[in-house]
Amino acid sequence: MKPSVLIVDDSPAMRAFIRRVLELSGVVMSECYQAADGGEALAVLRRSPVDLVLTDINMPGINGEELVKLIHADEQLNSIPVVVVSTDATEQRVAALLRLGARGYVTKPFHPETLRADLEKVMEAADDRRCRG
Amino acid sequence: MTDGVGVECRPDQVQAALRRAAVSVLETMFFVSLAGETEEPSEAAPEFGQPVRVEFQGGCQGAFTIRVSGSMSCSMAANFLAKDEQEVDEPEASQVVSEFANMVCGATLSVVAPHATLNLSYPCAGTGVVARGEVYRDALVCDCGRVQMQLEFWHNE
Repeated sequence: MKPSVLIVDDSPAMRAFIRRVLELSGVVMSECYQAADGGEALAVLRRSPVDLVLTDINMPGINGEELVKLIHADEQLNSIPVVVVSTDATEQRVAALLRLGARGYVTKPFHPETLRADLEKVMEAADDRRCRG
Repeated sequence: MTDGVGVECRPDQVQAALRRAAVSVLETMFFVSLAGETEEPSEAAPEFGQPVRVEFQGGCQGAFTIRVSGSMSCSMAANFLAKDEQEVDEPEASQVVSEFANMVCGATLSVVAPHATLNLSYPCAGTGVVARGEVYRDALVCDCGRVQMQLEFWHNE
């Protein structure tokens, strides 16, 4: 399966970098959508089929933490796995985001192979959930 | 050990964490290597670009300021964005230096204050207020230029 991925980050440079890392690490995407904040991300999610969301935390408007909460609370969207990609690796932040519904947490800086492995785990777990559900 | 500024490490450990974070971010995200030499931090030389500053608050408060030499910001942006150096414009270079500052700050704080809940500001140009509290400085010589860094922890008032 070629997943469609939504990358949410207020930095166009970081969005471009993540997209390139995904491509270089061998993740073949059917689509790669991008959004600069949580509001744009929700708009993309409501009009396009997305299999995986990668989001930063610190963004203007609806930030990553709020986005995770909103996706988790939305019956139409809560089957889409969300992975947080952040520089903040403090224990409380990671635990809080996972508690709110994030399915994974990748800390910047990251190696391309690590990102790919983490995303594969999240996608497999999401497939299992769908099969069981 | 927790000191008066919310840091859970000794000063030498903070200094080492800052160096490790910067080297790791440079190598992993920007494909830049150390040139094998270091230099004493000093007042910014003319070839350095505008300083970029990230402030943080929460379990500990302070600021991280970074200066990157002009040639290096261009190389970093080219590597990060997969472009030729000639194609990189000024806004892209400054955006990439901001990302660098954000990542080094976050990675360092995650090590020296792992149990704190912290909020980082958006990176902005400028040095802000004069350094106060506990100040850590470092300077790196890389294969494509030089970096100067300053991490400040402010005492809770």
